[in-house]
Amino acid sequence: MWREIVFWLCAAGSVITGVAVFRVDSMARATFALLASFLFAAGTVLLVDLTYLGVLVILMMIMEMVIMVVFMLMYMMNPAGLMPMTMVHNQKGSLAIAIGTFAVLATGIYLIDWPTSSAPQPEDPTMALGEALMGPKMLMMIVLGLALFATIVATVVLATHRGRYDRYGDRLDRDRPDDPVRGGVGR
Amino acid sequence: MVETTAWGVLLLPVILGLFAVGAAAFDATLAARAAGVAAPRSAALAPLRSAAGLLVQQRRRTLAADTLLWRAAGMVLLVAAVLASLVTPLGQWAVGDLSAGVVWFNAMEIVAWAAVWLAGWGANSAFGLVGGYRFVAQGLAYELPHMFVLTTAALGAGSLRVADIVAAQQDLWFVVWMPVAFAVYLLSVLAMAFAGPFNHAVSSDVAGGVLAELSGVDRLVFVAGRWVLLVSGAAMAVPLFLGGGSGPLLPDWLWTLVKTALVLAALVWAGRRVPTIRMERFEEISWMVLIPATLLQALFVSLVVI
Amino acid sequence: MDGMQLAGGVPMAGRADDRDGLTLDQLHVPLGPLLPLWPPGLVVRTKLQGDVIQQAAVEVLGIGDARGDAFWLRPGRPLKARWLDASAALLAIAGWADAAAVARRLRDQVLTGTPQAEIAGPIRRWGRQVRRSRTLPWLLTGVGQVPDKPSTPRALAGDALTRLYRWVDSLADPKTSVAPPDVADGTPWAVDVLPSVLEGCELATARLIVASLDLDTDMLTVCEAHHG
Repeated sequence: MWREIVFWLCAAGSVITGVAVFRVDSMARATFALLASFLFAAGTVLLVDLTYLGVLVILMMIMEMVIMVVFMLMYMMNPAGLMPMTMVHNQKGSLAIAIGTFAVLATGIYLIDWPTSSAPQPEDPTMALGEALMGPKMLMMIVLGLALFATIVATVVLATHRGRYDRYGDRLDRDRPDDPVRGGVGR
Repeated sequence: MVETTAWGVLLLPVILGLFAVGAAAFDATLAARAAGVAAPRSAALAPLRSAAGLLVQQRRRTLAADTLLWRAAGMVLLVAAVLASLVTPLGQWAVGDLSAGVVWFNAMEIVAWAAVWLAGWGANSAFGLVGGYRFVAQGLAYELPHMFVLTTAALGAGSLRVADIVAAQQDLWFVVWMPVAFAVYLLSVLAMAFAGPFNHAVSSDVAGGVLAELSGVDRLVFVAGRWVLLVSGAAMAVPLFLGGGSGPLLPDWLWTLVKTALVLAALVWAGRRVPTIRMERFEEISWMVLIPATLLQALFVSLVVI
Repeated sequence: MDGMQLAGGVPMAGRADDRDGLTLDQLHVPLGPLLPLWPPGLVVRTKLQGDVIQQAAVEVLGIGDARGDAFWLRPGRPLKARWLDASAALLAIAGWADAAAVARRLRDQVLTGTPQAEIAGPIRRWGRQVRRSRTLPWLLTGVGQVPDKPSTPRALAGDALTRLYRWVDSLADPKTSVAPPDVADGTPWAVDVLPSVLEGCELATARLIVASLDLDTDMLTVCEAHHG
């Protein structure tokens, strides 16, 4: 019973704060409304006993949104919402897409014959979910994760404005790097 | 072996509050002793006196402030600081014994990132905003080593459940064979509570940073949240590295309290010994020294476990 | 363009190129004239991008009403007390409240005429504590490095750390206990050089730099009075 109440609270909260993202003027408020929406979504994950995943969603989303708000303020006009503006572009088109997607998903929920199981709940639902999703391809997915991470690092290295030749000179012979601000390692 | 108690929900904030007041009093006493005040004992009451003053103080207003986010900051910080201790066992009782307790603790302390940034943002003041951004930079510096340290303790026990981590230390406390992890953990606790040398977000060179415009009840709630966060961090050091409630003679709940008090006192004392560490210097140390050090520690622990 | 629209009565920030080749909002933030641990009357008008000072203009308020009177030039104000005062300000801004509190206490004792024999020990102990700190050099090295020219006053050469160590070492030196107050003060030179030292710094170091230069705005009024 309480699970259902909590679920509906989370669902409603998630939708309401999701709508708020587009109703507020301020980038800061929009970002934190989005964060609240994600946290409500994490609540529903916690409800199905996927503790690790639910807590991880909370952890990652807070981190992500705090970093995102920095970029939102940096690149978007009117960061503080001190002047009236709207977050909505292409209103008709996006409305059509949103309603269409919702309709497809909702009918899907009612049409699919969801399987029921009388098997006891696994001891570690997160592990069981992972194995059900990945199965024998787990090792490949782990390697793929590493490759993705390496790609991110490589992209940052390639895109960096100042490389080691700017810092240590063309012959890489400077003792201390030539940085606009001195770092902490004291080289 | 850790049982969850529902009434602990009521007791937990009280214990955390008492520890927070005690830590603030200890801090004030140390400050008074350094300043050569004749009666350091009365200085211990200074935090309570200033809390009472803040309660009756009228709120300061700033131009075009984002009041909603600004007020939310303190509440969010305080609530998250209390929730972080939800999984910390007191002896053999814990309010919630989550299977991913360590991750929960980490998630709640990350809330401080949002809270401090919001407090800096809401006031619409340049100094507050600089303080808020400093804390985000500080977060990026301390969080990765901190996560690796938490992972190391979990690795040693083979579980993310705090009770299992305590149980794994029956024979040997983790602090003995993970000293690097313990040291980095203490550093990052100071950093996440922006206390001691890591108070760059609220330091005097930007007129108090995120605290610059906070006044009245808002300030009281925010500062209280900060002390409670420090207490939560210190308390978590006990089950992660100091063997939880294990010890001779005394009951285990008392041992937990004693160890927490010792860790907390050490943190407050050490924090006063060192000047404020600026982010442009700490960032490099963190990424060039602390991350490799914690990774090596994690590698060592995994090899031992295997 | 943005100057026309007012948000809460404040014009929106304009933009300019920054140090790293981005075009960012420019914020005008004045530091001073009245701040804790700040030379009274000094105003640094900064143009900030992020928390990097792109441009700084320095002015000193109240020079016009020169009375030719300076706190540190009055009798019974030994140089020792001034050094302790300057060290206390720098240490406090560097965030070492306890060492700063000790320095302030010692300064007050010097000013109230505590005998030399009684105070030399505590000053030496405090100096040893400051010199022993390993974090302090790590944090202050390279902060506020002034250009090394013949015109640079010897007392101000180097960076914030060398200046602090110079005060601490002179305090421990028994010969300085009788040194008279110094009229040949570095303040006019420091005020001239301050904008160029501040440019490109982060806001975090701006106040450290000002504190490390030991500006005494009273001295400026004295110089003004001397030169007519």
